Amino acid sequence: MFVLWPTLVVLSKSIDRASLFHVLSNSQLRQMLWFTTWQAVLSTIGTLAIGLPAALVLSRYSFKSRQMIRALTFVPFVLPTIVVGIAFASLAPTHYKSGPLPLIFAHIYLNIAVVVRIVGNRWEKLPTAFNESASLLGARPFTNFRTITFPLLRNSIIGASGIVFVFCFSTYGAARVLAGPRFPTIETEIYRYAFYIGNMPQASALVVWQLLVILLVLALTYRQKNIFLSQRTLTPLSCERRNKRLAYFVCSSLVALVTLLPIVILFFSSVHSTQGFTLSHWQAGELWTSFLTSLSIALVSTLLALFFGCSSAFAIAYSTQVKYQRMMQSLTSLPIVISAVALGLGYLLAFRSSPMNWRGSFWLLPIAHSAVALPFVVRIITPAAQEIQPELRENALLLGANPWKVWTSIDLPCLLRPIAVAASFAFSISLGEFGASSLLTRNGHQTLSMRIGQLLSRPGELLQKQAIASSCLLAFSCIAIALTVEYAMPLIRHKGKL
Amino acid sequence: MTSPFLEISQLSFRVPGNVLPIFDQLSLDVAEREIVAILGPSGSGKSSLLRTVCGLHSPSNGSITLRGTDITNSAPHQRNIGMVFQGTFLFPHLTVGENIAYGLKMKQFSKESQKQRVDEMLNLVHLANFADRDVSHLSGGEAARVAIARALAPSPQILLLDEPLTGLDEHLRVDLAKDLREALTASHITSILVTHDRNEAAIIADRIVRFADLLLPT
Repeated sequence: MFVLWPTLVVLSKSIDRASLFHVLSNSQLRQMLWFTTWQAVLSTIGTLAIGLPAALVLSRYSFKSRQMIRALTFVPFVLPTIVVGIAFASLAPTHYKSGPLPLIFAHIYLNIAVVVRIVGNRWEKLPTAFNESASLLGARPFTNFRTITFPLLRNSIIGASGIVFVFCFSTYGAARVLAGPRFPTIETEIYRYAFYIGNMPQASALVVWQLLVILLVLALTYRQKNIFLSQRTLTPLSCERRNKRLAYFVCSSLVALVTLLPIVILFFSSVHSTQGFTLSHWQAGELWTSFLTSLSIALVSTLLALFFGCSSAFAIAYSTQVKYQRMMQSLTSLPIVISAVALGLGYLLAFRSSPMNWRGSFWLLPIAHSAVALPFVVRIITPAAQEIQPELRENALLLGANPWKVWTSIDLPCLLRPIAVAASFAFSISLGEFGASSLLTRNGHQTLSMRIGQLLSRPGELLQKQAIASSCLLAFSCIAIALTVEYAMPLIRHKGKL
Repeated sequence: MTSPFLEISQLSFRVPGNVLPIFDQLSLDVAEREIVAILGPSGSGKSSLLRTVCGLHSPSNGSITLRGTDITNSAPHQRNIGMVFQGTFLFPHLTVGENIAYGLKMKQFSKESQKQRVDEMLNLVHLANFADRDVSHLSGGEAARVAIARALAPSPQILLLDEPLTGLDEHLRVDLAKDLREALTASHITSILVTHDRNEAAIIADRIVRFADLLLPT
């Protein structure tokens, strides 16, 4: 109801053919659509260029601090896009504060973790004996990669490219800060038409075009058949040569440092003014009020996302009907296809008249945030639930446990870890959510990301610095949540051991 | 006196970072066209020895000489040594024929020669007409035969077999061991087999040595 219904409402509003075709006939809109596409293509290529070598080194080789460096490369993914936008604007030279270049760099930074995670997970399962056999049959290193490694990773590379393209095509926070008025993207235009101009049919028409492009890209990059390699992750290789080990350590440490650099610069900028060192930007009362509002909304939205996400994940994992599984997977993936601003627009249109007139209600924002987080929660919990061997449950049943006891003593301990990861993702997503919040926030409960947006739209160094301090607070909160889960994991895993 | 076809002299291998070596000061001579079986319990270092001989591991000491040429520091793809791994590891994205032709492509055989050699190899391992099969549809025994054919196809100077029949049932192992012996002698190829199964070694090899006997007594 909270995903499909708003989507259908947006789609039905755009049946207005004139608005739909106006996107193609209007040269400015056409140019905007073209810019959104090519910056997303370049961002995807750049992300692959850095992400693939990083995935290779981090998934295949063992060296000092590998685990910690790997964890650091995931930091950008949990950062709100608006924070990354502000960080890159602070980092960029004066003449490149906005425009395509900083936007593309920000997109690459945000999405490296996607490539490292998706391609790296597959690479970890690629037995080294394939490459070794090829090498003994005479393949040189590059031929070995071209004829063995690449064909076996191709589907995951294509899949990761599709997802990165979709994220780059529909990010809002980074685009709003970095693209600038000369280079609007489709997401910023949907917001402008809906919020500033009030032209809902045109905004809805843009949502339809955005949806069409995203669906087309996902259809082109979706590969169902993936050659089975190995269920388990293989032990990373220890490099025999000390120099090689050192080179891997240095290179991956550089990647990790680059991921932290924007946050560090952001922090120094927040405690520095023209008069020198100051904490005044952190002492604004509204900063902490907004932060508390964000925390309470994130808490409610995490609980909702876990409730809906776990229910969906269990329904998919425990079902034996492939058709039903596919339908549930498609439905829960919808928030990836439909962007956050489009979802916010759907909520505005769907829940504005009786008996569902919920405009201004506190609940609408946590529900929208939980809808945005839903695909991530489902995608984290479903595979974990599917991996539990049925024999474990059967043994427990034969040993006298009733079905409820079986679930609490077998399934739940195995799922505690993925549930904790999913909760941390949902919490971070809600904390930094900007697209849907921009349209749904009402006076009285302004979130931190909304405060950042408002401060940025006003001139003056003080307000800009307050926006930077707010961004830092958001970034630190997201990193703290990710690290808490990372370090609490061994405890949870220990408790969950059967 | 003529020098042996393969001469392994005082070879040691240690995993980087570990103090104790996997094997230390190991020596072995193999004559041309000889099939030698090395017997030893699991974890004794037999597989590591084969991986060091073919260049997948770098020895910490000692030398390997093949046909009078020192190959101790050559890259694996330059040694022209074939190996059948435990678990076969056929390339899952290629057909049976493409798997066998892989090494031939690397040696830039013409398409016609490749096809001819693939058919020849398939006949040798009793799998004629299997060229277009998907490797995921092969039984354990068929996969082992294809792995042997793939390693033999580019005519390596020496073939290393790392427990190639492990995981197959007893009856099939004996049949395959006989076929393997037949294929190796028909190909006139020098081979080293490592196994923990004395019967298998007796069927396949001309000479059986114990892994422990190859090490310098301390």
